[in-house]
Amino acid sequence: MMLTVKNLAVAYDGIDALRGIDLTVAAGELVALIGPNGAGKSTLLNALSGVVRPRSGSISFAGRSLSRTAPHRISRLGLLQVPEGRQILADLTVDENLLLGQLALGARKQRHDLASVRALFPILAERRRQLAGSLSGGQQQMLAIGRALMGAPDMLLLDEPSLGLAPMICTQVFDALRRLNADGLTILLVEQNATRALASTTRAYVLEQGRIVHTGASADLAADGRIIAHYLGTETPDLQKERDLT
Amino acid sequence: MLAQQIMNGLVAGAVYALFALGFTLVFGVHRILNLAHGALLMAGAFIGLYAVLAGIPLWFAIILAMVGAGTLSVLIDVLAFRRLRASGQAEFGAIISSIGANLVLVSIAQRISETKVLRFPFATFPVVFYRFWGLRVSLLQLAIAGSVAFLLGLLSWLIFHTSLGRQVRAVAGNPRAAVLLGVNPDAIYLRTFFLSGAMAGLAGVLVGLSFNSVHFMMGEPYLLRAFVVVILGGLGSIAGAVVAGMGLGVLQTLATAYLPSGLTDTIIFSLLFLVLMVRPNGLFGVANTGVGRR
Ligand SMILES: Nc1ncnc2c1ncn2[C@@H]1O[C@H](COP(=O)(O)OP(=O)(O)O)[C@@H](O)[C@H]1O
Ligand SMILES: [Mg+2]
Repeated sequence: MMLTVKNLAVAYDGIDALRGIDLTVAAGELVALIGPNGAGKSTLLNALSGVVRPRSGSISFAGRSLSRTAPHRISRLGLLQVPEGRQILADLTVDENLLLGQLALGARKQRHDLASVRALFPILAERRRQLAGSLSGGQQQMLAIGRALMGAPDMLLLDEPSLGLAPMICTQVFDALRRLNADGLTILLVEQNATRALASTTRAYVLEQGRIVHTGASADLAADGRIIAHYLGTETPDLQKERDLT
Repeated sequence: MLAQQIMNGLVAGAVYALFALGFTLVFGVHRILNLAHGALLMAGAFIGLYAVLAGIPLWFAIILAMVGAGTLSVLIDVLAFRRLRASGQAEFGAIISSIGANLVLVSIAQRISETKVLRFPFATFPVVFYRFWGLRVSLLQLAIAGSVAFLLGLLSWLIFHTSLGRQVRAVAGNPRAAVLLGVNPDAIYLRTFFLSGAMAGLAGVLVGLSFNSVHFMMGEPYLLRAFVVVILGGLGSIAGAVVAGMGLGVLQTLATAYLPSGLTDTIIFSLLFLVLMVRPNGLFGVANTGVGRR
C-alpha cells in the first residue's frame, strides 16, 4: 500500500473532527474522498501532511510511519498536498512558484521539469513572468498542481481543485489529473462536487461528520441514487452528460 | 560645498540603509518589529572594537562582528520570539519581548564598557584622503560605500534569484503553503535573523569607525532612524529601504550643515508625516507588505 491510515482521530480543542478513519490507497490508484462541507475532508488531508497532529491512530506512507515526521519532511518524502484555495504564492512569478516546487524533491529523482509542466498546462508558459497573484482561479489551480508536480510526488493529495472554477476549466483540470494518474501518479482527490469526482475515479470514500460512512467502487456509489441525493445534493444534467461521455 | 555634503550624506545614508534592511527583512518575513535591532548594531561595534583591541586585524574583527551580531540575532529569535510565533501571538508580544532583549544587551554592554565611550586605536583604519572633481573622499568612506553596495547587491541577489530567496519570500507570503512545498520555516527564520543581525553588526563597526566612538547607547538613534527609513520606504520593501536610507542620510547631513542645530530630528519626522499623508504605505509600499516585493 502507498498509504495506510488506521483508526485515525483528530480533534480541534477537544472537539472531534475525525473519528475511526480507516483508509488505504494503493500505488497507481485514483481515489476520491467526498462529503459535504465541514465533514472533515481537509482535516484528513492536513493530518496526512502533518500540518494537523492526530489525537490517535496511525498513518503510514510507503511503509514509513508519519506520526513523528515534520510537515516539510512529509512533503520531501513525496507525499504532496495541493491545498484548498490553491495557496499559490501571489508575490512570486509563475516560474518562481514552479521552481519553489522543486524544493520537495530533496534527494529524490526529478519527474517533471518546467518544460513538462508547461506542456501539461500551456497557460503557465504564456504567463511565466507574471506574478502568480494576477492569474485567474483556474490558472492558479493549474499552477498549484504544476508546482506540486515539480516536487516529483509519489502521491498527490488534492483538496477541492474544482472549487470556484468554471465547468470548462474544471474539466480541463480533471483531464490533467486523469492523465497524470494514467502515467502512474497515485492520487487522493477530495471533492464536494461528488458527481464529477465519482466520474473521474475508480474508488471512493464518503465522509460525513468525521466518519467514513460509505466506501466502494466510484461507479457503484454514483449509481446509488441515495448517496448522491442524501449526502451530496442532486446532480446537474450538465454533469450527468459529462460522465456519460467519459 | 553642497556636492561635498551630499556625498557625505550618501555615505551616511548607505549605513542607514544597511542597518534598516535587516530590520525590514525581519519585519517582512516575520511581521515582528525587532526593537532589539539597535542593540545588535551596538553589539557589532563592541565585538569589532574589542577584537581590534585584542590585536586582531580589522578585516577579521569585522567578520567576527558580523558573525557575532548574527548569532545574537538568532539567539534573540530562539529565546524571545520562537515560542510566541508558535502561539500565533507574535505581533504584540514580540514588541515587548524585543524591548526586553534590547535592555539585556544594552545593560551587558554598559557593564562591560563601564558606561564609557570607547575608541578604536589611532589609524585602525588608514587615514587617507582622495580628491576628485573637487570632492574630498576618505578611504573609509570609499570602503563603506563599496562594502554596503556589495552587501545590498548580494542581498537582493539572494532574495530575488536564489532558492533560499524564494523560500524566504514564500514563508513571508504564506507560511502554510510554504511548508506544504517542503520549506522548513524554522531554517528560514534562522537564516533571516542571522542575515539581519550580521548586517546590523557590520553597520555597527562602520558607525564606530566613522565617528570613532563606540558606546552602549549607540544603537538607539539608529533604531529610530530605521523606523523612519522602513516606513518611508514601505515596510518590508528592500528597494524602499535603500532609497529611503540614502535619502535620509543626505537630508540629515544637509540639515546639520545648513540649518540651526537641533532641528534635524524635527525636520526628519515632519517629512515622515508629510510623506505618509500622501503615501500612507510609504514610497514603495503596498497595503499588504512583505519581502516578496521589490
Ligand atoms: N483549525 C480549526 N480549528 C477548529 N476547528 C476546525 C479547524 N479546522 C476545521 N475545523 C472544524 O473541523 C470540522 C471539519 O472541517 P474541515 O476538515 O475543514 O471540513 P471539510 O474540508 O470537509 O469542509 C468542521 O466542523 C470545522 O469547523
Ligand atoms: Mg475543506
